Amino acid sequence: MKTLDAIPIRPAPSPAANAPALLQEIAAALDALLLSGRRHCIDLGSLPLSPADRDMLRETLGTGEVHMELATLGTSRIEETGVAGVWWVRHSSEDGILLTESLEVCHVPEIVPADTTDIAVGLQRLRQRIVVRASGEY
Amino acid sequence: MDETILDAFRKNGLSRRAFLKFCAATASLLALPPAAAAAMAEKLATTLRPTVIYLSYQECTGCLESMTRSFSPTIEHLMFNNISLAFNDTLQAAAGEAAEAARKEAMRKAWGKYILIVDGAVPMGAGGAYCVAAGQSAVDDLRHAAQGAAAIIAVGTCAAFGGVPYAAPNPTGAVPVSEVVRDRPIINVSGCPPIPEVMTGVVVYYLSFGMPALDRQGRPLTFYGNTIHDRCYRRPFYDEGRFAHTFDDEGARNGWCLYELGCKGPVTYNACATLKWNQGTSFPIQSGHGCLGCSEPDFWDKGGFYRPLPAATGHWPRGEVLGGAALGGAVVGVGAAALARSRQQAAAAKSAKEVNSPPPKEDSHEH
Repeated sequence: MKTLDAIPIRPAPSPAANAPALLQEIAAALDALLLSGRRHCIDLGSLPLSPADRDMLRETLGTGEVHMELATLGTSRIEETGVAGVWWVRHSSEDGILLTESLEVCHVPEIVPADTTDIAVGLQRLRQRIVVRASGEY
Repeated sequence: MDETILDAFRKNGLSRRAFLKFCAATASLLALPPAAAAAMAEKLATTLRPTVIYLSYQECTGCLESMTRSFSPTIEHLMFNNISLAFNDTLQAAAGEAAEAARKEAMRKAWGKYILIVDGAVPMGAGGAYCVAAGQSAVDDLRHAAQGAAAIIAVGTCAAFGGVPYAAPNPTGAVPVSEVVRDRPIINVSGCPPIPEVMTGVVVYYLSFGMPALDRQGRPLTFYGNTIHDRCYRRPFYDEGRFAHTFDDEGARNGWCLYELGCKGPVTYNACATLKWNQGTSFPIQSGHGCLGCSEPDFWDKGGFYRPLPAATGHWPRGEVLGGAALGGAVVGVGAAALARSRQQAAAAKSAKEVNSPPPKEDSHEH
């Protein structure tokens, strides 16, 4: 009996058509970041990218020094590429489904630094814990 | 009872990072720039959860089947956080008179403010007798429900353009929602069915920013602003003049352009090529079959799914979208298209002789 693997299907080869233009856009965005501090975000989900396009992007940008994992509403991977200031951001849902994939050109993506309100809430919680701990020990 | 959308979020203990992630995912879905995500977050934080009434007429429930499979935002997320779904005869637990009473009560309470989602065409023949529920014809029911609606979302090609019930010879006299209701804002969300994330996305967009910008067919430009062809990953092959001619030839195996096999991608406005289907897995062209054009009016009566489009498609993409990178091949494409056209005319002439029926009329879609 034939299994699915026995049916000869080969993936369609597709030329890298849009990656060269994207790389130019990234270069222009880095220029703007250096000159005026302006952030830029490219939503990869809305672009027609072939596997060859993706390979070209990954190869040209390379792998950087920072890899972060964000655990909220599912997992998010935030990785700096080999080009400093260019971040590859992937947000996934709780079921592990990729929700959005983008290239962010900035010093650090906005979602990373702790928010002032969250810090205030955290501080309140810490003080409560200190009090509880102190009253429990003595 | 007057709970804002932020209240609903806070109950789930969301941090700012979670909120930013939700906004990034939704903005990406709506093809909005990142800055708009912040505006959306702000608006959603203060908007009251609106009542939604979902009515079904001449339809196959395929649209609702599709909608319940939306993965971002999920229909559960919408129902628990963003909207109050007051009536949907398929999803709700109540039935019969209890259901009708609940619906009347919900409509009375939110009269003038609720969002009305309509699924299916409306039969006008025989005094509306072809579609009757609880003793009321679809056309009377819709006229009444529309009076109290802030806006109407016509979901699916049947509600938006008549769809399959409207196809020749249209025995029930089916018409789209826009022919019954003329004094309320209507958003057409076409497709057979529409992409699930487009349906839930339009609801979130309406809650965040109000009426979206529409094309001349009444569809939101965020999802229907580009043709399938504009965003097709096989577009580079079209630009190079490489086509599949049968479903089993070298071109088909190599994944070349399906233009000559009747793909309606160049005249079909929808988001299949970017959002894709089944949680972003694939879409018809990626699976080796041309686009049927199901989000366009009269797609059923356009002379055959496998008949190649007649010559020029009448429009070329506008270059302002997403920094131009998206449209890498647009300029090259004009030259290649001329080549494709001449090859294509030969093919069309051949098939016209075989089928002996008039070629489909040209669709010159403009915005």
